[in-house]
Amino acid sequence: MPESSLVKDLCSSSVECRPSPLGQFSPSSVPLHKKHILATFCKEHNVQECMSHINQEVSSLGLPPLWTEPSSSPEVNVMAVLNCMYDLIQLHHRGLRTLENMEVEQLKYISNVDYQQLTCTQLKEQLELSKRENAGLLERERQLHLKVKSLQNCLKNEKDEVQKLQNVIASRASQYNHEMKRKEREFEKLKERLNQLLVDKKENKPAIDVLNHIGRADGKRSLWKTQKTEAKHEGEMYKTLLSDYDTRQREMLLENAELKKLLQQMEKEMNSILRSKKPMLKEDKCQDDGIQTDPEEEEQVVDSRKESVEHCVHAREKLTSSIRLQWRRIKSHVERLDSQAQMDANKTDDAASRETRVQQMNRLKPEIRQCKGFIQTQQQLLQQQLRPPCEEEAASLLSDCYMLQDEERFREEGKSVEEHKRFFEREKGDFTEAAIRLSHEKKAFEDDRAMWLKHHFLNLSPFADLKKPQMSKSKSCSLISKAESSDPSSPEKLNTCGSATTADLYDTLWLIPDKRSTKPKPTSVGEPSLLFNGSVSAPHNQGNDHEDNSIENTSST
Amino acid sequence: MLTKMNFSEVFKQSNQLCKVSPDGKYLATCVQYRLVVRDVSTLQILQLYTCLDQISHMDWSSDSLFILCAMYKRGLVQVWSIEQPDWHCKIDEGSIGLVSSRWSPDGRHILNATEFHLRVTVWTLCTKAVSYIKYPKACQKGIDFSRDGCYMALAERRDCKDYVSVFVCEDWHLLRHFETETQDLAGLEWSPNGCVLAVWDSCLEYKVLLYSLDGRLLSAYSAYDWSLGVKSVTWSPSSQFLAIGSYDEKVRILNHITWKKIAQFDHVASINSTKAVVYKEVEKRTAVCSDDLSLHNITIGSTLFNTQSKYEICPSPVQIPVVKPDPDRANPKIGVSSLAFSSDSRYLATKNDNMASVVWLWDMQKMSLVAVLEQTSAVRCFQWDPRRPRLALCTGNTKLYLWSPAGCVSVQVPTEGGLQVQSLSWHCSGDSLILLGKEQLCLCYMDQEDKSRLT
Repeated sequence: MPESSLVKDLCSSSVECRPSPLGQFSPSSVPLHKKHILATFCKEHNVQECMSHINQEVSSLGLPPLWTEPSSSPEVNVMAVLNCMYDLIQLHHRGLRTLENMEVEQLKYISNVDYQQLTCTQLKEQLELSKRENAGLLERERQLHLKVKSLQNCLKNEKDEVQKLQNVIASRASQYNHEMKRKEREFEKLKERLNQLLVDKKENKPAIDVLNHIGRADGKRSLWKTQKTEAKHEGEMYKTLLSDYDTRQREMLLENAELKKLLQQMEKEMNSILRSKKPMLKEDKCQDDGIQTDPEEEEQVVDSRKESVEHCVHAREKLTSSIRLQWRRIKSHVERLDSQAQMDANKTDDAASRETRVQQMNRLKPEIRQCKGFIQTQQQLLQQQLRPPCEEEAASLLSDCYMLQDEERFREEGKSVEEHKRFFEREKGDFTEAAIRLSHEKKAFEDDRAMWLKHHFLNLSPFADLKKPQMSKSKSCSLISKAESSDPSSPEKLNTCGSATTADLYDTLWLIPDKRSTKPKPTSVGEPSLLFNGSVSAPHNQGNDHEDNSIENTSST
Repeated sequence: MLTKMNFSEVFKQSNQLCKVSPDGKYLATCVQYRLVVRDVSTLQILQLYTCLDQISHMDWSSDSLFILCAMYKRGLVQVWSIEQPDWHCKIDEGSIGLVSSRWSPDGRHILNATEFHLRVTVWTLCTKAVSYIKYPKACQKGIDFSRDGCYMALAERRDCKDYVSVFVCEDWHLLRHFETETQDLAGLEWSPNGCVLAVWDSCLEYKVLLYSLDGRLLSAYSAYDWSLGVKSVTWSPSSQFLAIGSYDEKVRILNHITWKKIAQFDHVASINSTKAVVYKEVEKRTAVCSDDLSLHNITIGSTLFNTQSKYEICPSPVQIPVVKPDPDRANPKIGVSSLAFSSDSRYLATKNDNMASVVWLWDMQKMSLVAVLEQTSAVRCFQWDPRRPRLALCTGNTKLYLWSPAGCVSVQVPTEGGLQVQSLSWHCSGDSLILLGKEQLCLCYMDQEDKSRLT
């Protein structure tokens, strides 16, 4: 019996461990009605253990122990056991009762929970409802707000309009008032004038005072007013109106013709464009207008040419409708081309752009090089332009220096030349003076000579010799001394010695034989001059002659 | 290419009465009660006439043989002959008064409007006959003669209704008399071809009516209701367009075929157009050094204080100065008051009254703005050259401004004492300009080296 062995084992260790010896028969897992299991708890061999175990259990339950340990008497206190049993039964009943209560409570709680859940769902539904209602109300409120705004706008507009109208009314009122006042003023003036006229009996009648009547501007005579003239006027009036209408109609005809020509031209051009693109269009024509349009188009062209001369409405309508049709076709065609081009462009966009960019680069590079070259040459030219002016300045400065040198030199030379000139002029002057003096001296010398000859003749007598040679000698001595003194002087010192040298010259030239030049002319000169005039070949003045003549005369008388 | 401009010396005139004869040979000016007739090229005085009172209005006859001088206060009109200075003619309106006086197109009749516009008297210089026209209307432009001088349109008002009478000028025969659908007719104008008469209502109602010569209503045009309406109307010289300037600062162009609006020109305060050139007059003050204030310099006078000015081209967008008019006053300074077509109908010059210093130029072929001229002060007068597309304008200072499609130029009028140019008018040949100051006038001769070229 494996159970008993197990029990044995367990009982042996029951002192140490609390768990029941019947490990597998723990009270919790054992149904209460299974009493037969409990019966196998105690056996003959494990009574003590069972007793101690039960003691322990009872004491743990709070009941007085059944027997004390050390007592090994197997006699059991029946009373204690019964009490214990009674207590245990009571405990058990109590437990059952509490269990029932707890079960009741649990039921209560469950029903509460159910109730709560129910209310919860109900409230949730209510919440949903109210939320929806709220949303609806909010929406209504928003709409009302919008309405209010629009109404306010309307109100503002109305107010503005009212204001405008009020302004208009105000301006009209002021204008009316102004006009009224003006009319009133005029009325007053009229009344005054009327009064004045009533009072003032003398009325000045309007009159014209012309000197003479002048002819009419067109020279014709004025006509009487008759029905004929009236009719003529009416006729003329209608004529002007008709001519005006005529000109207008002509202008409009011209304009119409031009516009029609233009339309026809446009039609032809459109035709030519469409014909060139016919293969493409033929596919689309079937979609667009049907096959009929092709022959129609040609018909219309022919028609318009035929009826170009007629200006009826039919032709015009045909022309305009055909043009509209063709224009539509061209438009669709162009749109298609555009879309195609766009698609193509999108595909080859990058490549094309790259290509174009490369091309542009290639084009621009040489241009840039050219431009750079231009800039460089221009810079060079500029520098050249700037440099020469500087060099020129230096050169001019230098040349200026040379010029200065030359200038100075020339100035000096000029000065010297001037000096020379002055010197020469002075010399000239001196020469002329000298010449004059010489002539005077010559004259004097002639006179002297004449005198000396006269004296010589006269001095054939012994008395006259003593005086004259002395005088002449003294004079000649003075001259010689002058000449001697003038010799060492340089030819340039003209002022002091010029006269001496010329005198000296002349003296030496003429007066080698005798030097009796300056002698006072004697009053009584004899005839001997007559005798020697012919032989003396020196030039003499007329004065000299005169004196000689006078001398002759005196002497002759 | 610069046009040489020679300015004559300054002469006296009174009342801005200065007119060139229709044949372009003579210039007549009024100085108080004297009428001076000069030769246009030499400015020598050819004739001198003396009137009985200060001259209020003066005009040449169409054949340049006679001049009428009206003296409104005295109710007198004196007519002088150029050929025969001894000839005289005096029209005395007597107690009935005189408000306006004008020539008829044939130069032989004088139409006098009496005081209060009670009647229009037609005096003739050829015979002793006198004609009267009753109930003429006193309005902005109540009488107009057709360009060929055949017909006269006269506005009348009878029993609170407006009528138009068309007269044949030859013998003053009443051709047509019809009622117009206007509330208060303000003006009428013949088209240059003489076949259509434009009639417009006062500013309280925007209405322009077009009548044929025989009195049929061709069309009625109204741009809007209630706001103040038409301010100015003008025909293009080719009779193709009718330009209507209104108080809403817009110009509407009607075409002569359908009489419907084909274009509308707005005068906006901020110009964003890239095609239009905006010229702005910029003044540069000449510096005055204190050392130079010698007597000599001061006697040269206004040249010291004259400011040079030139045109600068402004890049878009350009803001135009706007002056808001007083809303309580009548005839507010707002709206297009001046319109003028160039002689070839290519350009239209307009002026908007609340942008008074700006002249707008519109191209009629492209129907768009071509140029804007912004001046430093309010533009007083502008007029097109009768021969070529050249506009002359003045702003009341000492400068003359010229615009042509080639460009724009500002010219200082070189006169001692400074002539403030108040108005100007072209000579019929387009070779010279008459500049009128307050009491002075000056002529500007232009040498056309290259036709219509201005830098």
